[in-house]
Amino acid sequence: MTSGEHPAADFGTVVDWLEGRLDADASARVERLALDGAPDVLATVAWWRRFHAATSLATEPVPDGLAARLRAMGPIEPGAGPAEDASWLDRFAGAVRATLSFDSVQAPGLAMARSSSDATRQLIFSGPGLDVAVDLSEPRGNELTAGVQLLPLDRHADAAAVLVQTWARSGLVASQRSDDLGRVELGVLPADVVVMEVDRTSAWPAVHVELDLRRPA
Amino acid sequence: MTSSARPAAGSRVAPDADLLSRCRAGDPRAWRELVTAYERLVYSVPRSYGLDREDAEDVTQTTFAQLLSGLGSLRDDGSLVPWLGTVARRQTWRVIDRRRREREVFAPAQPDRDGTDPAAGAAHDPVDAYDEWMQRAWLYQGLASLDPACRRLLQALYLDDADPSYQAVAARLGKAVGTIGPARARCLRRLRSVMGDQ
Repeated sequence: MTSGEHPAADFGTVVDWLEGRLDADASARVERLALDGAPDVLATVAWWRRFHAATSLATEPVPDGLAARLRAMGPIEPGAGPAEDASWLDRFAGAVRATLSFDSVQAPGLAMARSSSDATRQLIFSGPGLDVAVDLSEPRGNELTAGVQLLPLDRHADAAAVLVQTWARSGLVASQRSDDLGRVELGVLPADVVVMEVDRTSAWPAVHVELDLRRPA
Repeated sequence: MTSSARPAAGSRVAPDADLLSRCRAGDPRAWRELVTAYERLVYSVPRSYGLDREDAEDVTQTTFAQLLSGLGSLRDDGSLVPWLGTVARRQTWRVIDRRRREREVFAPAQPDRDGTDPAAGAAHDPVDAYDEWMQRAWLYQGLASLDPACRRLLQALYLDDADPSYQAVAARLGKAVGTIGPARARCLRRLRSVMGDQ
């Protein structure tokens, strides 16, 4: 109760009155104060009405799967597991794994056409309804950067604004949407196992691509 | 609701700076607290524009992903909630635009996955959607500033779909029935003090 507040009209009592939790006598006392224009009562009524209006704008709970994914994005608990623990890959269980169908290293004519200072390796992964071309390059020292081109198998399918998320053991690395041509620049990637998840559209299901970017021992 | 009556989300409440600071320091618990505080609020943006659940999940995930990747570059920690709303709305419009283009390509009419029509949802007055979101933001930002026990109690009493009677809430939270009323008054009073009357 604030100074000057009427004893019958402290905050809790007024809220009880508004929510119909008072007996008839107590209700009548608060109502009388409200009708008399008691400032504290009116202020509480105004606040409660606004609060109640906000609570009535229902927000549905987020689906369990999303809730888990959102929490999994964050930093990993210290000592959460050994470095080789692959359980973080479980989050991609719902996506189809695209398989490697082309590697420029295995096609010397293409790979060797580039100079060593501009070494780019192209990998193409094939999934249902979608090929994913990954261009890996090392433009700055030992840092690996990657660009991704989405290649829908249906030539009418739209590859623009598709969500591509890149994950590593440490959590989310990047989350981007493809440009109008279906291209995504991922930037610098960690030298670790990296998974790119391409969101589903009406033309293909969710697809993930696994890349082992660890340096040879 | 007129613009003059819009809640000033962030005007008196600044509970997020500490959470963000801990997130930047790599505290996994802080990230979970932040997600718990605002996941519903963010998810409500695409839903209020008529996106189906799958697209709404994408928008929500992208929004939090952008927050995570941009933690170091947020200009004003006190403006987290408006920032989340802006990013979620931008992502929502992109999805709506994408779905519209898909329908044009696959014309005449290809029903969406669960039969909803994002374009129809987008026809919902965006000013109303924004005002409603601001009201929710005012509430959720206030709730985020409370201690977890108060937050859980008020959510159980006023926001959850489950039975809000004192008996049911006491059972769900593992509290004595007699403690619910006094705790409710105390938590509401605290909420009002952080949210303010304006």
